[in-house]
Amino acid sequence: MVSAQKARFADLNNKAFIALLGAILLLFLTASALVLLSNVWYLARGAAEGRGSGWALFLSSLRDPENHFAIRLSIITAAITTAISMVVGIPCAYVLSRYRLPGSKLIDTILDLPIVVPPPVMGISLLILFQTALGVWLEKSTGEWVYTQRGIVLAQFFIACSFGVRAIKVTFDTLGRRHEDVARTLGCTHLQAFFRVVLPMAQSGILAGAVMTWARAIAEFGPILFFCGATRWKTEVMPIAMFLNFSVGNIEQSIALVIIMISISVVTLLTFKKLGGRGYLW
Amino acid sequence: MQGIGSIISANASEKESRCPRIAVRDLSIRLGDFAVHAANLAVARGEYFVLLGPTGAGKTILLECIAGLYHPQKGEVLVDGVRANEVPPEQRGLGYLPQDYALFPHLDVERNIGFGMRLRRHPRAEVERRVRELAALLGITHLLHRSTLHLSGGEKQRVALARALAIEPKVLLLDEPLSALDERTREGLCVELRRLHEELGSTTVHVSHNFEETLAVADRIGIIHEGRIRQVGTPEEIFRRPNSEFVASFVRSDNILRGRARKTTRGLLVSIGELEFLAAEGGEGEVFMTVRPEDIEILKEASADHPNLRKGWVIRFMDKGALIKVEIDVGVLLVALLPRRIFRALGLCPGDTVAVSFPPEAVHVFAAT
Repeated sequence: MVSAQKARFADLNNKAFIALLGAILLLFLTASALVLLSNVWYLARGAAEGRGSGWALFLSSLRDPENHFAIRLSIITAAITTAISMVVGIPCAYVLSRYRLPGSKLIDTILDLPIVVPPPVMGISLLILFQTALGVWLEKSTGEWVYTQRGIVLAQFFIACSFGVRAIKVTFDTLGRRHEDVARTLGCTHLQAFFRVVLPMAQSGILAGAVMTWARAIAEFGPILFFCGATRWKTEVMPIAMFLNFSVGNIEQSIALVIIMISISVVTLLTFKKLGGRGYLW
Repeated sequence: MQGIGSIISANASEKESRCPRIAVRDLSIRLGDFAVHAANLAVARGEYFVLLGPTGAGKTILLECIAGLYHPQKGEVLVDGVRANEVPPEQRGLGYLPQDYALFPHLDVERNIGFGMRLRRHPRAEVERRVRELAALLGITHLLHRSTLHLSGGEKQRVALARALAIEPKVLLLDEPLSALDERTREGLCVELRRLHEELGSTTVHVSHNFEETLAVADRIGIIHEGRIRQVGTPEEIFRRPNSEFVASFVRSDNILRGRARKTTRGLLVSIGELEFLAAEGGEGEVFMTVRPEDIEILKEASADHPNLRKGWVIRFMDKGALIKVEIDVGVLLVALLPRRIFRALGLCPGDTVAVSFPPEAVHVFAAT
């Protein structure tokens, strides 16, 4: 029989371990919150130091037409990117989930590449592509892409689509193929089974993937900067507007956009979790 | 019940009725760790056939090859005598019920059952009528407008069965349909599966790893192990006359002894070391002999007229509920299965000296390979 003293010590040991884990988690959460809340702190301090009311500047930034342009452009381009990503991403995720393809490791790596490479790499690569014969032909036959608003969609697509595919593939993996098999024996062709059984069952996961894709697209900066440039009232999506304002000292204007971006991210993540989104996404 | 009788009705031609409903010829397939090697099977029209084997034996792959969900790498599947290898699952006309039932969660019970019929564009009234008939047959009418997400295991099984039956399948393929259920529900559903089979006159191929479940439903059994069909026969044949050590052990012939057999004037004599046992029939040479535990009689007082009489002592007991398993050392270890009442009357204790006896007809002998 273990003595009472030993039992007390073991109990204390276990509690100390849990307390240590909790403390590390709390420290990390506090640090993250502090970094994000520093924007609010900056606005409040501006008023206290007589630099003028930070809040007033912040509120006027929210009414600024240029910021409205950036927000509108971001929302529209991200929405188009999401729609295209779903059209491309759902079939890709389905194929990757259901079939053992030759060179599946290579396919996986190519798919994950946009997730792991520094974002400017994709921007520079796109820019270089359009300098090649293929790129020149593409621009001739489909119109201009480089330094245009259409280019923003292209730059967002190549990064965000990978995130969407990953999120949706997890959903297809989780569903398994049993329901499709049953649908086939009940008379569905493969296509009918996909539309009548797989898609309705994967609805939440696909929505979660779409939300993630949209969030990733709206937050894209590096590829857009290199491929589309940072031109006011033209290719000025929110991250570009933030960068432009910050680089000329319009800190409050920049912070207004930062707070909008954080709010969008919080809402997006909550929606993603509510829809049951899972899997590794980045 | 009008209409239900026609659900699996066989409007087959005379030629069709002569050949097996389902036949598998030299079928081989490998899928990851699972494989089937040169399997041969024939399931007659109206037969309830159970493919029995341990986990990982390859029985589900074989069933899925029959369903058309996998293509065999060698050999062929025939439905009504016609090669079906190239026929996609949606055109084979076979009803399939997977282990986890795979009910469609986005459809309610009624729409699940009617799924196949709606796909085939049957008139709405006909779909509704058949769904109601099947629901009544399976006792799930009260569930028709419920979501499938909150059904019990037994209810899900019935809904999945109704869904598979609604398309009037030529054959019903059941993949471990009772394995996710508790023992009591399983027993009830075994009876129900058999009743449905007889009432509808259907042909059924049922995959199972449970021997009791198999005995309750099967007309014939195919034992599969390591991807190979080891024996096909009626439950009585498999139970009483296993053809290999594996089958004997799988059907719980606990007494599997290796020896040498020779024919004598008294019958076939099997020598196991110093011991000799008399069998009614069998071949000579290196053999295995099996005796069902329930065929072994334990005697407190032995008399010379008992056949295959051996003295020994009780090693241990194992309580199996209504039956008690008793291990006795007679020079080799023999296992006897006694009804509780007889066990009590004998008043056995470990270490007691007893005699065992079994008739030569209870000894099954097969060649050791």
